[in-house]
Order: sequence, then structure tokens, then C-alpha cells
Amino acid sequence: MVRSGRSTGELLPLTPAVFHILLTLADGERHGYSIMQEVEKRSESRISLGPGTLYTAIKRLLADGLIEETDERPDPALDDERRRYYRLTPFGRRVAAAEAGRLESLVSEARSRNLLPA
Amino acid sequence: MASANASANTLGISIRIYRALLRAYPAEFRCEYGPEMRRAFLDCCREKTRRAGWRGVVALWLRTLVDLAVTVPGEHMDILLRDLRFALRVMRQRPLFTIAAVVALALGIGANSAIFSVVNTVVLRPLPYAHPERLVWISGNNIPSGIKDENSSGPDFLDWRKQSRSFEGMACLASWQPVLTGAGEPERIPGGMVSFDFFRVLGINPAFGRTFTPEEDRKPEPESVILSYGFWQRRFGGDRDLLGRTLTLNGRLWTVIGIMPADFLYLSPRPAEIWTLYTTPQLAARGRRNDHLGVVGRLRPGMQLQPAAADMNVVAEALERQYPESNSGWRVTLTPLLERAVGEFKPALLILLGSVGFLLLIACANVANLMLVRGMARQREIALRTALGAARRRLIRQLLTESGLLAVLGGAAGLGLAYFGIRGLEAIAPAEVPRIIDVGIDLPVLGFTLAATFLTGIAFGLLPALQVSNPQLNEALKEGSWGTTQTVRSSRMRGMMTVAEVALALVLLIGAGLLIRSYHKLQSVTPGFNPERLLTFRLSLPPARYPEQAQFTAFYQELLERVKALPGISGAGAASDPPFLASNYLAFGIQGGLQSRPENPPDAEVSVVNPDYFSAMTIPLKRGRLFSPYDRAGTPLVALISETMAQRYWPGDDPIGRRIAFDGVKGQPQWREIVGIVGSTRSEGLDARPYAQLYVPFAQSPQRSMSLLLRTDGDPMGVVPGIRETLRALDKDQPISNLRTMEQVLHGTIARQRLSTLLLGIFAATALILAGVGIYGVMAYSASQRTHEIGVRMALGATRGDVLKLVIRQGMTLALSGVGIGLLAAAGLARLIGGLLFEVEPLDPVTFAAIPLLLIATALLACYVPARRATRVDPMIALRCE
Repeated sequence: MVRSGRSTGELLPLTPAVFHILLTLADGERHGYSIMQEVEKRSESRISLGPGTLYTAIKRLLADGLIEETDERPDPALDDERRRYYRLTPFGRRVAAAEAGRLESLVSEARSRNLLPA
Repeated sequence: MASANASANTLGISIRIYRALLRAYPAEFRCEYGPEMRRAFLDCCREKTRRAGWRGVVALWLRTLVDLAVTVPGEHMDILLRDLRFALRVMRQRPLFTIAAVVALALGIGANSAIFSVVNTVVLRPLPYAHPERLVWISGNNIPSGIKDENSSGPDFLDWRKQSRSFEGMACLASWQPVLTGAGEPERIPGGMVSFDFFRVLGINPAFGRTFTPEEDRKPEPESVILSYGFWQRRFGGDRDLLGRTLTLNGRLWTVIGIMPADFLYLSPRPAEIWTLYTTPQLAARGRRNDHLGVVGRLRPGMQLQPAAADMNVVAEALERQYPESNSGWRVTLTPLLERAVGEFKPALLILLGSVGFLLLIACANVANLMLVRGMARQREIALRTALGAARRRLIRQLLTESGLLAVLGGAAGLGLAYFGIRGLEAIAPAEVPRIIDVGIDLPVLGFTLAATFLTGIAFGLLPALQVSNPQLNEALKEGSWGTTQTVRSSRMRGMMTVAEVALALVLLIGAGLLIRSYHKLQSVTPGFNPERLLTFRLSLPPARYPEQAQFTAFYQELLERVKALPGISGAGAASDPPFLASNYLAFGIQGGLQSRPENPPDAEVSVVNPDYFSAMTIPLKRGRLFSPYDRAGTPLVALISETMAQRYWPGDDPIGRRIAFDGVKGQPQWREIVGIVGSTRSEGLDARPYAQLYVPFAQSPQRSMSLLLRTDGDPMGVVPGIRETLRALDKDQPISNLRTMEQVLHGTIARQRLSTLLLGIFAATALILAGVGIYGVMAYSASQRTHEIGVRMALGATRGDVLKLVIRQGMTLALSGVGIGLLAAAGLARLIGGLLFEVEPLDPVTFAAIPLLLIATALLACYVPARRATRVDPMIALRCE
């Protein structure tokens, strides 16, 4: 189901939930529950992913080739090996970067119109 | 420790519930991510419990339920879209299959939607009155005399209304056809006389103006009229100032007091455009057995039909005791008004609805067969997908999506067909079918079509899907593996479908065959006179212009003389109540009484006629003499009777010379001598036996309202201008009404039968074609699958004739089984249609012999074509294919 040959632009803009997932995976692989915790922590509990939202998003991210499952375990002693771990693909990293760039240009636009302190 | 236990319990219950809720996701998604999601949920649960106790768990659950509600439909939609894309690709790959299936379904669904729209609008929809369920039709019956569903009389109606306790209101209606003069062409307007509270009982207010008042009701004669919206628009251009102004009707002035709303539905089967008041003094002045009133009642809230009928019969029994001569044996029947208005159309329409249901089943069997055949061809694709791990449920879902998509396409095309079908129906439906003009595609019809489409998709999709999705992997993946258990099972199922299709088609064809036979018999009934080149129209002379009997007697005599002299007219009859046009049943007394049947007062259809009536109508004289110009006022009173009347009242005796008298004559009976016996005519309908008929000479009993019956040499309509000219010369204010040929009149009386015969015929023909195509499809496929076997047989010395026989035998076994089952089913169902048949037995041997032969011949043809093709198999090529 991996769709190849898609450009980063085709997938933008990302939904906030998806962008958060990608952000969370930017510093290494994680399993689902860990993604949920991290997103909740980083968004100061404003975004809270339920298992349904998380895994339907993961399904699509896998299908679009933005993330992949990994067999590596960060710390075998700490973690349950039945859990599935996901990490960003290089394509996913480019998409996340493109989304970040898109947001950044929006922010600078807001700044130039004095909506934000310079 | 206790709290740890409690939280462990909460966790256990929560995770069990969550696991159950996960089943809402598509299996594919659940298998892939279910365990992960459960684990994540468990982790969340633990954390929330640790942080916030049970409150945390509750909050988590709230969020989780929202999470499920948002993501579950999305996942299903995802799969549906994927399956739809796949289904579209599959359909595009096989356009012929797709077209065949969609056409079959469109025919089935379209016919169902069209007929349902008629049934819904005509039969099921409530009548357009306030609380229509409380309205009942009140009619008389006299069981000892064999009379059912009789109108009421003025005095009886007034007593019913006064003495009954079950009704909030009771109103009556009678026919009234005044002639409008003074404003353009004189015109006879169809209308009604109603009691003052008629509109109030129905719960209908006028669009403009008012209805009749109790004050008006006390006057001896009515002075006001209410117009229909259509008449007001047509004749007066919707002029609001008409209210309060006067019209000249029957030579007298009447005030217009109201206009009814455009959608007002009158109770009479004949349209009405004007209503006046039937005042209480007028009603009271009529005879008790002058039964010309329709009566409608509104039951009190909560009152049921049975107790109300019991209440009415208490009243009827009291009237019987009070007026034994007129009311002996008379009781009352209550019928829900809807039943009364549409009841006679119900059986035919329900049979048509059943027929289109059969048609849809045939279409489903047909498409299911196509899907099975195609499923066999896709066996390998499906086996491959199963081998690659596709779950059976997933495959069934995919296959059902394909059949659903076909059904939706068929349903959409069917709706289009229904639209045109309904317009066609409206064009050919007899006008007396109530509310037929309102038939159209509305919400109930759309809902019905949607439901039919959905059920159809499941009906023809489920079996093939179950069948096809369960392949024996190894068998299917092997090359050339025909003749396995799988294909045997599938071909058995296709065989069953074919048998069912043939059986259903046979039932429909037999139904249509019976109706066609019945219609044919009805058409060839001789009414007792010759309807060819017979022109008829009616004249009613207004009392205001023709107050004296001598005046209207002279008018008709002069008119008949002049008309007879017109070129192209060979006979000029006149009758007050000619067959199929009017009827007047009167009771009479016989001088010296009757030897037999003393319990009932004898009655007959009475018509006042001129001496030329019998020759103009070609009604033969059987015995005695006809009327002559010497039978006139002042000479001894005479009468003629029909053969039926002679046999009914004087069986084995000679009625000529006997004397009879009608009641209603004040004081002494006026005896009339029977001077001759003429042939009987049918009068109420071609399917109704002739009733006793009695004729009275016009000159001895002149009437203001007469029908003329003119025998013409050529086209009856050709003489119309001459007649109009003649009439204008005599009285320029006299309109002609109901101008028709007798053949048109007779044609109209069997319009309903013609319609149901035509429709059932169309459905049966469609069924025959579908069944033929079904057999052809199955045989063609089966023969093509047996190419190898046939090749072997031919290589081993089988002749082409042997092969032909082999294939045809296989097909005909199916067809004959279907015919057998269909015959049994038809024999069982035929009595349902019995009520619609005329002089044809439900188990009519001709139909039950001819129709199976027709179906067998069709099946033979459908088998022959593939069989011929099978004989052309070249054994070498067939064997090399392996």
C-alpha cells in the first residue's frame, strides 16, 4: 500500500494530530502509547490523541510512507518487545520539515502584520 | 489493598469493554492494530487511575468514546471507497455483464416503483379531509331482497341523523346537473346537491366565501351555489367579484356564496364543479324508498366502527317498525370512507404489486446467476487473494459492495424508468381511478425504491458472495480444474436459480394469460343491442322553461321527427335510462300478486322510451307487440318487459296481458298492461347479468331528461353538426351533454380491466424475456465449460445430434422443473385473481395448458442456441486447449 513517487507538497497541510505525531517521532522511534504521552505533554494537554485517532493516523502515515515500523529496540531491558515501534522515514522527515516551513512562513507573515511581537 | 483491588477490577472491566468496542472497526484494521490499541488504552487507564482515581477513568472513557465515534465510521468509509473503486474497475472490465445486470435490475425496480407509486397514492394515502380515519360511508342493505350497498332516501337520512348517537355529524349528497345559461354557450355542469353541513362534516373550508348555513337549510328551496376552483377559473377566470353575484341555472337565479379549494376532492366518482344545498324540507318531501342519496358520517372521537354500526341498526330497526311497508328488511352498513373510495381498485392494484414483486425476484435470480457465472470466472483471482491472507468476511464485503453498486445503478435507472412508466400509466389509466392524477415520484416512492434497491442488492449478491468467497484453494489455483465439488455446487445453485426464475415467470404468465382470456371474453360479450354506429347524448329541459308536460312532450317529439329526417341517420331512439348510461330501479306491484317469491316486492330497471327506441337499438321483439304512436296519453297504459323479467317474475307463465303498477302513485294504483316481451340488454356492465327490465312509452310518462340514441349510416360523429343545428333551431339555450358513441361508452366500462390486463401482460412479457435470457446465460456458460468434455465425447464418436441432445436435455430438465413448480404455485395463487376474472375459471385449462407450452418453447430456444454452438466444437481444438 506504500504510495511511491508522491511529492512532499501533495500531503500538505498536515492535520495537527499528524504533525504532532511526526514531531514526536523526529527524535527517534517510539511505540504508540509513548507517542500519545509525548504529544499530550508537548501540547500541554491541549491535544490528546485517543488510540483510535492515533492508530488510524499511523495506518495512513505507513501507507503514505511517512513512517515505518522498526525492529530495533532502544533499550531491550526497559521495553516490551511485543510493542510495535515506529520511526520517521527520510520522506516523512522531509514532509514534516516542509510542514514546519509552511507554519514558519505563516508565523512570519503574522509577525509582519504586527499580530506577533517581532 | 482494597483500593488496589478495586482499581484492578476497574481496569479489568474497562479493558474488556474496550475490547468489545473495538469490534466496531473493520476486521482488517482490528487485526492489524487492535492489540496495540488495547495496550495503549490499558496504559492510559493505569496512568489516569494513578493520577486521578476513578474520576480519571471516567474522563478517559468520555474521550475514548468520542475517539471511537470519530474514527470508526472513517475506517469503514475508507474500505467502502476502496471497494467501490475496485468494483468500478471490475465493472468496466466486463461492460456487457454490467449492462445486462443493470438493465434487468432497472426493469425490476422501475416496475416496482411505478406500481408502488400508484398503490400508495390511490389506495394507501389517507383521504384529504380532516381526521379522515373517522369518516364512514353509510349505506343501506336489505339481505332478504339481496340488496347490498344501496343509497339512502331523504326521510331515512334525516331519521338516521336525528336518532343515531355515534356520529359527530352526518351529511348527504346527490347528483345535480344544472344547465348554466346567460353567460356564453349553454352548458350542463356536473355537480352535486349536499346537505348544509356536508363540507363541515368533511372538515373542509372554502377557499373563498362561505358554505351553507342552517338558516338556508330551513328554506323550502335552495338559492345559493358553491363552485369548484377549476370551474371558477375555467368559466369565470378566477374573478373574485363573482362572490355574491348570481348565475342563471336551470332558468333560475342562484347566488354564488363560495369557492372550494383547488385540491378539494369530492366524494362522488364523477367530477363535480358546482354544489347546491339539499334543504331539509326537500329531503323530507321525498319517498322513503327513493334511494338516491349517498351518506357520509363523521364518527365521534374514539368511536369504533362496530359499535357505531350497531347503533345505526338500532335506528334502522326502529324505522322498520315505524314504516313497515317501506323499511322492512332494511339495515345499515358502515364502510370506512377510504375503503369506499378506493376499495374497488385495491384487489387489482395489489395483484399488480405482487406481480412486480415477482418480476423483481426474477430479475434478482437473473443477476445472481450472472454473478455466479462471473464468480466462477473470478475464482482464481479470489483464491489468490485468499491465499494472500484476505479474510472471507472481507471478500464477502468486497463482493457485496460490487452487488450493491450494481443495485444502486439499477435502482437509479429504475427510478428513471418509473418516471416514464408513471407518465405512461397516467395517460392510459381510466379517469375514474381516484387520485390517479396525483401519482408521481414522491418521498414514499423514493423511500420504497431505496429499500427495494438495498434488499435487491443483498438478495442477488449474498448467495454468490457466500458461494464464491469459499473456494477450495488448491482446486481453484490448479489449471483446468473443472468438475470439482466447488463447480458442481455452484452449477447446482445456478440450476436452482434458473428453476426459480422459470417458476416465477410461469406464475406471472398464467396470471396474465387468465386476465387476457377474461378480457377477451368481456370484449366479446354482446350487450343485447348493437353498439356499432350508435351515437348518444343527453338533454335535460329546465322546468323553468318547460313547466308543462305538454311542452316537453312536444319538444322531444318534434326533435325526434327532425333528427330522424337528417341525412345519415337511420333510427332515432330516446330513453330516460338507457343501458350503461343511467339506471332507475323501481319496485312495482302486480295485479293479483305473484304466485311465487311473495317475500320481496318485485322491482325492475325502468326506462321511458319512444316507439322507435327498439329498432334504433336493434333490441328484438320476442313476443307480443312494440309501442305504437297510438300508445299515448289518454289511451290504456301499456308496458314492455324484457325476457329476463318475464323469466324472473312469470316463470312458465305468460306475462302478456298481465297488469302492473308502480308505487309512489297517490291513491289508486295505475295499472299498466304488459303488451310485449323484448330481448334483454346488459346495463350495469358487460360483466353484469341483465336485470329485469321494464319499458314505458314516453307519450304516457313524459320526462324532461332523456338520452337520444341515434343509429347512423357512417361515422357517428359525422352527424353531430346537423344535430346541433336542429337543436339550436328548436331551443338555442339547450346544451348537449355526454355526447359519445356507444362503443366509447362500452370501451370505458372495461377500461379498468384493460389497464390491469395490459400491465400484467407487460410484466409477464418482461418476465418471459428475463427467464429466457437467464436460461440462455446459464446454458451458454455451462456449454462453454463443457467444451473439453464435449470434445472428448465427439472424439469418441458422439454425433452432433448426440451433443445437441446432451445440452438441450440439461437445459430442459431445469426448465421443466421450473414449469412443474410454477404450475403448482400458479394453481395455488390463481384463486387470488379469481375476483378479477369474467367467465374464466381461475384454473382455466386452456391457460394452464398454453402458457407452460409457451414457456417451454422459449426455454427450448434459449437452450438450442448454445447447444448448436456446442456441436460446432472441433474435438482436436477442444482437447488441445488442455
